Amino acid sequence: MVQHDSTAVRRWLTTQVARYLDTTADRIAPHTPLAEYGLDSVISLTLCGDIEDHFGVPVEPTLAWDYPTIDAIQRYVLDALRSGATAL
Amino acid sequence: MIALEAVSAYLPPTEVALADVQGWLGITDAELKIYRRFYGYDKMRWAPGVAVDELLLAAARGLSGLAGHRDRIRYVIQARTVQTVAPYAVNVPHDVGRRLGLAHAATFTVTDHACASGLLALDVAGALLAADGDPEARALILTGEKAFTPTIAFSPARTVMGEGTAACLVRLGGDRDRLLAYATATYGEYHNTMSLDAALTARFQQAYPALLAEVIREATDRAGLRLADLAMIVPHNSNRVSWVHTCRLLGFPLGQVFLDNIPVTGHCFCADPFVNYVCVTERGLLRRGEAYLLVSVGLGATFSAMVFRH
Repeated sequence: MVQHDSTAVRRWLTTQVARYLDTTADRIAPHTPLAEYGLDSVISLTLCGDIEDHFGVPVEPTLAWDYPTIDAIQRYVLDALRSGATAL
Repeated sequence: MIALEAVSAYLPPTEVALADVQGWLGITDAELKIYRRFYGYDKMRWAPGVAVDELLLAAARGLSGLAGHRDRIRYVIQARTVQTVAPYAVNVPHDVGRRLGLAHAATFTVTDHACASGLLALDVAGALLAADGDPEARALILTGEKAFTPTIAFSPARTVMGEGTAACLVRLGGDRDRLLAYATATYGEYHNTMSLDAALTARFQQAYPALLAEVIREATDRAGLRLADLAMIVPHNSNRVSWVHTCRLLGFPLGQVFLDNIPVTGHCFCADPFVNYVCVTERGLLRRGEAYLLVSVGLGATFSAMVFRH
């Protein structure tokens, strides 16, 4: 299994969000709610799907609701990886 | 108050996989994944080459007791989402009514609440039957449409349409499936939904679960019930994600919202609550005396809910 540390997960999430929003990663702060960047429901769900594909962990469609920042999502992903949960 | 005397659903036999019409609908690979994994859509029931009047007739002919009530049917109401569904001079509800032997009935269409117009038709039927005061009079509601263009068949970030239809025979009084309360609210700021700009779309998506939850609460309150008294919510087949959010806001179990048809039929315009009602009752998911709620949302945007006693 590929090992993921918190820095790598955060970097990957930030890069993805920046790409969806057509901006650069340095403009995405890990503690700022993604909604403030204009992350709409389609982008939120795209992120959910990409997380499932990349990390192989299950993600509910309410991810951006329950974990509104990059930091929060990163913690969710790491917890899911540690618990061994796998996507369907 | 009215009661649902009989409800019938017709699902065209042709299953169309969303992936197979991805190109026609203009859906990207990323969107397809979202629609299947999160919104819950997979297949739709379509009827290629079959006109909408045939689909409505199929539903109406499935109504138990239709023949026996033919002379009592005073109103035929087609509830539809799309205002124009046939070329000029073709009058779908009149044609269907005539073929059902109901040329004597006052026949018209309600469409102002878009996909929530099915519930509006029930309300209108109730008002007309109450004004007539004849307990033997009936109204026939017809719902369901054709997904005849990509614009109509696919609503970005929302839904995929199916061509299932339903018919509903309504009467005053009666002791089965009695209407207890109706709530509806139209938010005109979202009226131009088909050409919403991105900011307005985002606001609508943000507001949607709360507005849906509000109308459900309102209908339940008017019925003198608590949400916990509802055995089932029988909804329109809007995407599953919106129901996940709405149920969280309501504190209502997602498992008591009938979502089984989303991947099977798609969102069948005004017909969803009726088609889903038929499935729910056929599966024995409602027991006699239990309360349930029909709910639908129409672009424009109208949020409507009705509470019934089974």
